[in-house]
Amino acid sequence: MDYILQSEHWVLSDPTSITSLIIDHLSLTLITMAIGFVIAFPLGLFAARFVRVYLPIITLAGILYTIPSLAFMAILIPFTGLTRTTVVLPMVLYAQVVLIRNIVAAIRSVDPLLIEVGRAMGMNGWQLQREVILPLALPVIVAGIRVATVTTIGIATIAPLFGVQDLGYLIFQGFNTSYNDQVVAGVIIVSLLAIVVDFLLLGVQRLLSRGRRVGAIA
Amino acid sequence: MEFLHEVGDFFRDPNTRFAEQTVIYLKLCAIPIVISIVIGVLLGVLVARRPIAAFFATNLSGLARAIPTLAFLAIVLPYLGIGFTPAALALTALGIPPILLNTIAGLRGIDPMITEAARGTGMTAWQVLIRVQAPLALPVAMAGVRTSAVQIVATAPLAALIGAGGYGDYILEGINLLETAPLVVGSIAIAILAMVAEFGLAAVERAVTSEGIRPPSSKSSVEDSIATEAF
Repeated sequence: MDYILQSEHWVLSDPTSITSLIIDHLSLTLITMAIGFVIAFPLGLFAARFVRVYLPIITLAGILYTIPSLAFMAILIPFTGLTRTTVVLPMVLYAQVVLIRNIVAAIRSVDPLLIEVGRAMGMNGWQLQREVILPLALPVIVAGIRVATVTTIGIATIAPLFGVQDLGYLIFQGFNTSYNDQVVAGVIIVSLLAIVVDFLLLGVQRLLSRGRRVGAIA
Repeated sequence: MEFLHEVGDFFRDPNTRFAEQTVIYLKLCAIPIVISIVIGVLLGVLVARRPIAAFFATNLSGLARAIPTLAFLAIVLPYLGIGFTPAALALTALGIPPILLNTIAGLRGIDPMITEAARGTGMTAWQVLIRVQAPLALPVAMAGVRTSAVQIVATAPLAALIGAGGYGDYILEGINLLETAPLVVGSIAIAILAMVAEFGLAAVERAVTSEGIRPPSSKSSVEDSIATEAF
């Protein structure tokens, strides 16, 4: 525990301080999730509408998801070297299964009656999509984002093996120098980060679901 | 073609000990999977009928699943040291939560009317568990086994970091020396094993699903595999 409690390990100007590494870890996660969502969202919308493309898309994503992260990143080294791309690309692909599945499930779970009502009010396709379907689908989509984000935080821990700095640095550096306190610090901080982000996004999800109940009654 | 030569050399080189590393890797996966099945299922059966215990087990397991897999391996190092046994223990700890969660979910998901009816026909508690509850809960529990098996197979290469050996050694060597052959051979071997675990256990899952509760149209195996994690 000593490592965490010493204030010099939290100095922001030190690139290997806990604070800096948390920022690195979060930015790596954010980049992955942003790219991942930008890819998954149109794919999910597309797959929700055309049932026949859903199965091939989700099967392919599932197969990619099965490849262990260490193996996936390692096999990219001959092509992309020890760069951010090597780490981010597999994580973006892993996120697809959960994101697409949830986007599709969310859209399909919208009560057709409400869509009917929207149409009866004179909404066009775009308005239906934006004002009826998406708000109702949002909690389940966020649930997918939550699971994918927590998974990404976990996988990102091995990034330092590929020359990309984040909280995993504490674990690997601790391994190399037999500095157990540092290893433990890394484990605690990265686990806490995952749990805290999980709870925060769960909060967002709950907040959004409350709106849904009101909508459903109306 | 130069690359294929490198791979050829890799297999011819006696120092790479491919067969030996394969055995280590398989053991490193199989032993934790078996132990976590035993512990996960036993705990699940014990806990499922007790609401408070089930609540704690479910929430703790849920929490454990948020913890990065590397953390499980890293945390044993300061206390248990390096080598095969600490790594196997860490992988077992990693494997228990999904099995425990799904065993509880499977048992609690059974309609109480069914167990009531079974007891009404004069079955003992043991008979109800073995003949009625077990077949009904088995598919859900098996889905948990698959999740944890795939997770163990995927995490086992990281065990090389704490000196457990196996295919992870090739990857670490490849990264350190920036050599393509060990990277490619190691990652392909690991990926193949992960696929075998995923699709093999999906088949087992379908096989153990009692005919009476089999869904009319079975969806793709990959599709329902991750369903348990998605929500």
